[in-house]
Amino acid sequence: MATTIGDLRQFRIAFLYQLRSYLRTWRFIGLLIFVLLIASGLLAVQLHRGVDAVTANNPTSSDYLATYLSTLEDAVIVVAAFLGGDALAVDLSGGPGYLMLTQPVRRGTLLAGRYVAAVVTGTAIGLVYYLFAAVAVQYFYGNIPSSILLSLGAALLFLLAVLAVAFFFSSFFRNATVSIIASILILLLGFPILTSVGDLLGAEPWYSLDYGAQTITTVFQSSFKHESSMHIGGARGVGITLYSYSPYPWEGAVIMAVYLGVFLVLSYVLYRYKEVKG
Amino acid sequence: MPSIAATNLTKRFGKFPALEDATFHYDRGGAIGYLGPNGAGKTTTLKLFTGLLRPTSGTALVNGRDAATDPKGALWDVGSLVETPEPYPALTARETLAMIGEFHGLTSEEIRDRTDRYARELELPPLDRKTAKLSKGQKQRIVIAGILIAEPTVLLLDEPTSGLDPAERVIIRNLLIRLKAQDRLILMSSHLLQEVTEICDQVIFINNGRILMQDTVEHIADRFKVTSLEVEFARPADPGQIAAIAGVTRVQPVSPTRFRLDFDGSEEARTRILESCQKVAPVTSFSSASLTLEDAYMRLMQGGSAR
Repeated sequence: MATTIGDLRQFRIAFLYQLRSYLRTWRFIGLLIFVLLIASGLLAVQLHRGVDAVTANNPTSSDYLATYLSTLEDAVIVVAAFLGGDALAVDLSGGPGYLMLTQPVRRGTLLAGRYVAAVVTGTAIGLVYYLFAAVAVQYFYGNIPSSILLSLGAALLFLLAVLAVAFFFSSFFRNATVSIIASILILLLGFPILTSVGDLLGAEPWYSLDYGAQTITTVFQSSFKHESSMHIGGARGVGITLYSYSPYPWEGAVIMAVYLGVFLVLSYVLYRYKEVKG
Repeated sequence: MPSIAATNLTKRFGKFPALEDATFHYDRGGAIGYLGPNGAGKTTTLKLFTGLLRPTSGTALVNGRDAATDPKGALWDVGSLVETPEPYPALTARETLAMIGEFHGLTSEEIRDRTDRYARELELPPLDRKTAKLSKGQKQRIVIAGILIAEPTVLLLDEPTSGLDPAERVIIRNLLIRLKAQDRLILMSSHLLQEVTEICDQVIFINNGRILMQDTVEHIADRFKVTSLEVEFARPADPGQIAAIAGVTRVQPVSPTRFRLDFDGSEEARTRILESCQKVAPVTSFSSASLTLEDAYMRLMQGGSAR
């Protein structure tokens, strides 16, 4: 009997075949078109308005990028939910799982291979967005601020964290469709609500992934304000005070890294120990 | 030598006992039929051996490795077909087989040679077609080729011909017979007793999560053997007279001149009974029939016992 091959080699195999699966599906093409439409749509509107109007609204190239990339967060969530939402549920619901989970491969190895394949695919799609942003800012301002690299790093970390959350839902639910829908709802609605609650109560929403993701655009702010407030409704004690928080870049990175670590570990534990009852 | 061993293997879903205290051990090549009605615990047993389920208590060892605590080691030399596995739809049939082969550490040449061989033997569909576009039977043959590509010594098969058309069944049955001859250890559940009789040397009967009996096909048939004789007389005969013949355990009149007599199946008893029948009335013809594995199965499932 031959000896088993190493986990690292099996990780590579799991990664390559998963990547191949992603790149061949209509889902990948659909997500690419989705991101292309958003990025090119934004650019088209700004081109239509003209250079003067655009630069009047956003005096610096950094301001412009902060505005342009404000929609990136939602795009990343949709991409991650579709790439990660069913990555593990497909096995736990039977079908392909009866083929894959009976192979001599650790489930952790399969998870790692699929996760990295999702990261690579998601990054490729996300880079398209940044490519449009770079071309646009170069066209309107004649320069590309170096902070775009920091933003790109934050966006990559956000993608990693969001995929970890999507993988968690994928290992939690046995139904792939339910898993994708749950990922989108929680990431697109749940976390922003958590952040808004913090803003309303005057408590920094450091617990929200959505809050950490603001780092993608706050790195462009020249006069960074961690906390600001605005009182509405007359004298103090009569109206309401609205608070607004922005994470420090390090803080945003820590929030996203914690989500990444915690949800990836939870995904592993669920995927590793869940039984396939059929 | 390939081996599988269940020791006091128990699986409960809540309070429902899907498998209770199953114990069996096989450590050489051959085919074992795993027989029982729906819900008996057959698939649960195979899932425990493939790490898809974890036992409530007891152990399921494959080649000496525990499927619950060391699934990678236990499944290394195993090909398994549990429930209805499906290949990933975005991959082609060839890629599916290559992926499984690579996971088992096969070289590209080995994968190519074996893929071509099984394409001929199992009459696989075009290998460069995405599996999403294949029929259920075609997918199942791809899955079976995937199970065999690493040439495992242990095969765990859950109704391997289920869902196949008659021609496909013949292909798989012949393949299993050939694999058995190569000293592979095959544990296969099936509803098709004829199939089990043709392929398997040993049989395990299971019902309500409990193993009722395990032995060779011959021994089980022998243990349940109640051979019958059908005797045709030249004229109507008295059933009472026939029942009084030494060795006859039961008489069933088929017609006034034709009777079915149960006896223990021995050669001496048959000779003696036929001689005695001649004294009741002239015998014009007789025929004998033994119980099949199917009869044994039916008796066991109805709560009967061996002789």
